[in-house]
Amino acid sequence: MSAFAAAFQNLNPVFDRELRQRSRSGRSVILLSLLLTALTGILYVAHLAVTQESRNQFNGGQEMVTNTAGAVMFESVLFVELALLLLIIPGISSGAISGERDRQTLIPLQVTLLGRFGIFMGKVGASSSFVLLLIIASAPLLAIPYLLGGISLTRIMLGIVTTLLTGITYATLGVSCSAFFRRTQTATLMSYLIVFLAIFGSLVIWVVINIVRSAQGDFSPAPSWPMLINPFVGVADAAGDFTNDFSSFPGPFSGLKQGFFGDNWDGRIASNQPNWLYSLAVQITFTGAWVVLGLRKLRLPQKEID
Amino acid sequence: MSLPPQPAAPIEVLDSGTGLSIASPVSFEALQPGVEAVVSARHLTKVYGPLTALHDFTIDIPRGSIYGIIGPNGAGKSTAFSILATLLQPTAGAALVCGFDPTSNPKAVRKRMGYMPDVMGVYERLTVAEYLQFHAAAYRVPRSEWASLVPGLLELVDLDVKANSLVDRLSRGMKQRLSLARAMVHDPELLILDEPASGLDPRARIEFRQLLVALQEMGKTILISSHILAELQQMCSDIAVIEAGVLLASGSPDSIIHQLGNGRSVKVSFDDGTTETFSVTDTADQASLLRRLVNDDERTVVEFTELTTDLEGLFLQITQGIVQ
Repeated sequence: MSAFAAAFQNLNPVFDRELRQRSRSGRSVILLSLLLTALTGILYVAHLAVTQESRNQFNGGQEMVTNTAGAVMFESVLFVELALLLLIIPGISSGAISGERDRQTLIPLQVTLLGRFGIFMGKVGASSSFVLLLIIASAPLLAIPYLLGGISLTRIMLGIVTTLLTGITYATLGVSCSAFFRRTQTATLMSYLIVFLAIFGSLVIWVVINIVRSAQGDFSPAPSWPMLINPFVGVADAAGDFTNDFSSFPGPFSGLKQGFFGDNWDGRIASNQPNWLYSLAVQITFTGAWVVLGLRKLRLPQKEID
Repeated sequence: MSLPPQPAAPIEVLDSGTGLSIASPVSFEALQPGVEAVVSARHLTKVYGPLTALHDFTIDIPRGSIYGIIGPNGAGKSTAFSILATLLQPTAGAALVCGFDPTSNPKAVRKRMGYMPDVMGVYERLTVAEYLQFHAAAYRVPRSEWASLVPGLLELVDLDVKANSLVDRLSRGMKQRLSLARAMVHDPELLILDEPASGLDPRARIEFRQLLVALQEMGKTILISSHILAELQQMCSDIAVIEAGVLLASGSPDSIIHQLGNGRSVKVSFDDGTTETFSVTDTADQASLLRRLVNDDERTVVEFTELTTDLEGLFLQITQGIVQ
């Protein structure tokens, strides 16, 4: 065993075992290949879109890209990557602990000296490692738009880091659901329900607030706080931009950022608040509550055998 | 119900091996003077709503013994085991396992106790050796010891040739032996084995029994439950019979048979083809019965046989098949 592998095993045996088992399964490789293929496709489509846009602007002239082309491509790829992560992560993480229960391997693990934190963190680490793997594997795709210009390295890095943290947050949430709910199906269902509510529930609340305010004659921008729980809006604030370029359509994240965090009527004036940081804080706090609930279920001795 | 005497307040010390905060061991007053108990339970009770799964369970398990707990399904065996194995809190009563309270100091107990549940789950895509290494790491066994520990354990449970086989490809008997090896990976002084022989074929059962006897000879204390009563009678130095959460009898198999069987019973066949069984307390009682039957004018005794009481007979005699 290499020193690297030994260090992993010393750090957390559950984490080490999960990675070992996963590396022997072809599933991760297939999933990763499919994801990267999809992201490459999105990058190509985004490139076609921005070049077509430039043709239209210059009346069918020479093919060229506008100064926001790189940003649009980057945001498109990152947007789809985040969407795919939120689609995949609950499926991967929500069986982490309930799956051990199903296989009758949890009790032998619980009577070791690992403790509930050790077991839980090992599972979170294993689920998060897939998020990290995907982000690292897709980094070259995200770097291509940088060559086209129109986007800063800082924005790219911030977008990648917030996507990574969002992914880890939802992986932790999935593991918590897995610890809290006895059955894997229930844990998976709840994980997807939470993701759905965070994305669309927050949007519905925001729209309702807007309608009520409009009915009251208030047409100023609605408060963006209901959207802070929304993973897309959080990443949008980090990866998007308040563009003043009327000649080009914004990327998906810039559109969201302008829509929810713009200060004037068309969102072209920036809010200087680090909303992505607030958004992460809200999501992590919400997940933290689930972590507490999940860890309570793992505490032994219990009053009743779960 | 009166609460049991509580052990003296534990003293917090730091274990040099694991860095865990543990307390120094304490003990209850022994039920039998002079017996050093590895497990002591006093008035353990577990109530689930209207159901009392375990009621006033009091035992001492002597060091170095193989202690069998028998009882029908739902008798409370697994509940008792779960409390002792730090999985479940009792509603009332107290227990000491290797001198530590499994409820308030579970880590100190886990360090000294190996637990084998009735069903062994397996991990996919993990070899037998890796499975044991994983649990050795989980028990914080120093890595430097693994090179000798894992082959040694596999040899003990006769799985050394399967070291590189995948765990999920093993037969049930092999999985049970591997599960036992897992429970011993941190060299515990006590093994709690819940129905370890269930589902094994006769040969695997015999091998498993031999393995447990070998472990006893190595100084391990073994607490075991089983449905195979004859098996327990052969290897257990002590036995407890439990039904509907209540401890009916405990002690060595011979003493229980003597104590509860009231000595012996005899089967008598008569010339009219009938057969009757009589309980007798001792030889004099047996002779008295024979004289009375011989003098009976209505029937002639054609056969008079003393029945040997085994654990199965005793079990049927003292339990009523109560299901909670």
